Amino acid sequence: MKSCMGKILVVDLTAGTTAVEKIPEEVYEKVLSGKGLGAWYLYKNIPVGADLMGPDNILGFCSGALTGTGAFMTGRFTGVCKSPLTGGWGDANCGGVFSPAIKQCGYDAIFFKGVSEKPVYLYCDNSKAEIRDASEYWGLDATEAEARLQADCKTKKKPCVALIGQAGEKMSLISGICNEGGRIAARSGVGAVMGSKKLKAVVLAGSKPMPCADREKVMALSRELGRKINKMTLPSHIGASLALGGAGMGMMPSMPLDGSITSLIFREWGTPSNTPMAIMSGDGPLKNWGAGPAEAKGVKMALAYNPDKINKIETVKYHCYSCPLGCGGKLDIRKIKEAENEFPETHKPEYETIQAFGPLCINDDLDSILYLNELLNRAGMDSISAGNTVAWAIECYENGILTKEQTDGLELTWGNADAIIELTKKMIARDGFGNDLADGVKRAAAKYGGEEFAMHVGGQEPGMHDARNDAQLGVHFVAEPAPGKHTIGMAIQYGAMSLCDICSWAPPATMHSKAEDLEPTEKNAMISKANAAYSMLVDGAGGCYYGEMMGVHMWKLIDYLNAAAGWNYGGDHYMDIGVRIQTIRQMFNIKHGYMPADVKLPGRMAGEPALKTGPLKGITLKNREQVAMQWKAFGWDEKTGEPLPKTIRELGIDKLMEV
Amino acid sequence: MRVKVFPPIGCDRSRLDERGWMEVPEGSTVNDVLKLIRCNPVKAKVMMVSVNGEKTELRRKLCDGDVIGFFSLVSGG
Repeated sequence: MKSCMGKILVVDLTAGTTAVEKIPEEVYEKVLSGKGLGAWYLYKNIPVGADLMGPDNILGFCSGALTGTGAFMTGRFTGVCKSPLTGGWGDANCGGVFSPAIKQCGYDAIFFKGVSEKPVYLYCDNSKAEIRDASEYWGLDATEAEARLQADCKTKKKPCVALIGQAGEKMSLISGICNEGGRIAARSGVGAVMGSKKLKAVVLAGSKPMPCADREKVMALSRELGRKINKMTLPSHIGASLALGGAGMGMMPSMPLDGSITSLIFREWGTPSNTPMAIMSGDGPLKNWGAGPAEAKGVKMALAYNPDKINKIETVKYHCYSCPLGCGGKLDIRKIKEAENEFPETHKPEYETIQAFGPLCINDDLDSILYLNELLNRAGMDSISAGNTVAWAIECYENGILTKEQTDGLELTWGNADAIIELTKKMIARDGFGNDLADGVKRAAAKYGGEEFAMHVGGQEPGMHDARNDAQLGVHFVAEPAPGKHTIGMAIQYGAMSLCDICSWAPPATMHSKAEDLEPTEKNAMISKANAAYSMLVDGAGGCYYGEMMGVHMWKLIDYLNAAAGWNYGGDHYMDIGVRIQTIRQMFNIKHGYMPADVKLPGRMAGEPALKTGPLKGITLKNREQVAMQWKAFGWDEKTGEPLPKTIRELGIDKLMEV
Repeated sequence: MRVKVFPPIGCDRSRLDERGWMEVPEGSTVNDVLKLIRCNPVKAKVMMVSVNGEKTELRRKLCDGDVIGFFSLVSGG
């Protein structure tokens, strides 16, 4: 593939060695790079029974097939491993600048196996790859360690660093991998695996050219996209009216949308734009997924999290590598009481963080969220998992399942921002009660009870979008090989993408009532399959979710791939690649005994019992039936979720695993 | 020629095929399409009518394959 380096670096931390391996062209043809390359490599190389925190688990950093080609919104890397949080497939992706840095060292991916005896980091440039002592950086938070490593390893070029904070060092199962002082590949416990290997950081300082078959064509596509994005502006009143829009959204049918204009919201406000809408529409979970807006101070919350308030303290926009949109930003938080004398700035919190520590905990204190955001970014802890776990603790406390003695004296009542901050600090430090929560809600509930309040899917806490508002999301929460992820697909996302215009089998997005989305129909199953396949394709390319949301007419992924790779394939061919990646990830789960049929939505999330008020009133999902139909659409066993031999053969996976 | 349209709520979708495309005569303008889907021009402007992701004048002549969209809220992220 002419947009890839054709090589990977394999680091054995037990032996202290590095080796370069060539990747056969057939692998790129079948699964691209990024998550696809990671799935192929891990399926082949992690043995059955591998200890999640032991030498046989492999941690990979995979760059995207389009990264560095000039294609816009393709600068994400994927961290892959056997997930210590679920026991099955694990991955998490992240923007920032690290993905191109992998390629600039000459590789498409770097894989780590073995376990080091003492803290180390990998340093890599154009000519060498060295395992170096990291003792002086161990114990530092991710932002401080990153700055010091960049200074200590600086040559002509400031190196790019991916690393863990204290949460990863302490092997918190909800820890992630950080870069750029606040971007984090948060999910699946990838940070815990890095910590278990005593690998503090990966420092990359290469400057090799990143290849592309037809750079002129790729750049032309990017110029066209950039021109459109730069010319469009939104009226200024939209930020303040998002809550009202959200209330209307809750009553809207599912319908096809033009994602291109909508994406401008993210340019203006970033993902915090979603918070007021989500609170009022039923999309965002409230009070540990257990209440409607009226019972959960919805209006007050929506006003508290008006994204204009966040923009007022934004000092500079933040763009990930190759992104013209720039949904990120840096905020001046020196005037915030909690952060005074501690943190001068923080990256703009993502919607997920705001929702998980805000409305999910009935916390309307924006300042506390900004402070928590910085705490979690520096520690490298997943805010989705942590927020769900804190919400569980609050509900248990309010219901007498947890006592003040058990919580180390914390008054864990709804909306108690000070207590939420203290508990989060204890989780990061693995201190007292916090130690029991640092491995996520499933394990905390196993120790203390309150399982009915523990919101996790197959061991992983779900992203902040409610499946009762969008039933397709519930299918992906469960059917996704790394369950609980919110970025694989939704009905509203499907409506914005126009996949039917690139893929012959993707059903057209039509205007219909949300009630139709609840039904286990073949059409819904094919929508779910198309959504997941396209998501895998995007991850193989190193692409961004907001590129997806723009729709295929705006962000021309297929044209980008053909131009960059020197191929001339149609959309169906590429969607097959997505299906193949998804199938390999599912095969990984089967191989390692993580059985898909055991993964279920918690009763509350499925509407059992249904809420009595609000936009989700009376909704109960038919999730089990819908998941079975999605599996069948993929060519997997509809009862077990196991990919059928015929499907594996037809996708050429059996032969691919012999390469 | 064919154009793809994402009509706002309340507009007439009967001329669109299942995938959201409709046949219009060569030389048709954005305004012509608005009439066909029964969308008030004021409403179209308020909803930021666009062609291929770019803000547009209503008198703009359309080309085969153009995509006509309007602003709408989505959640995600």
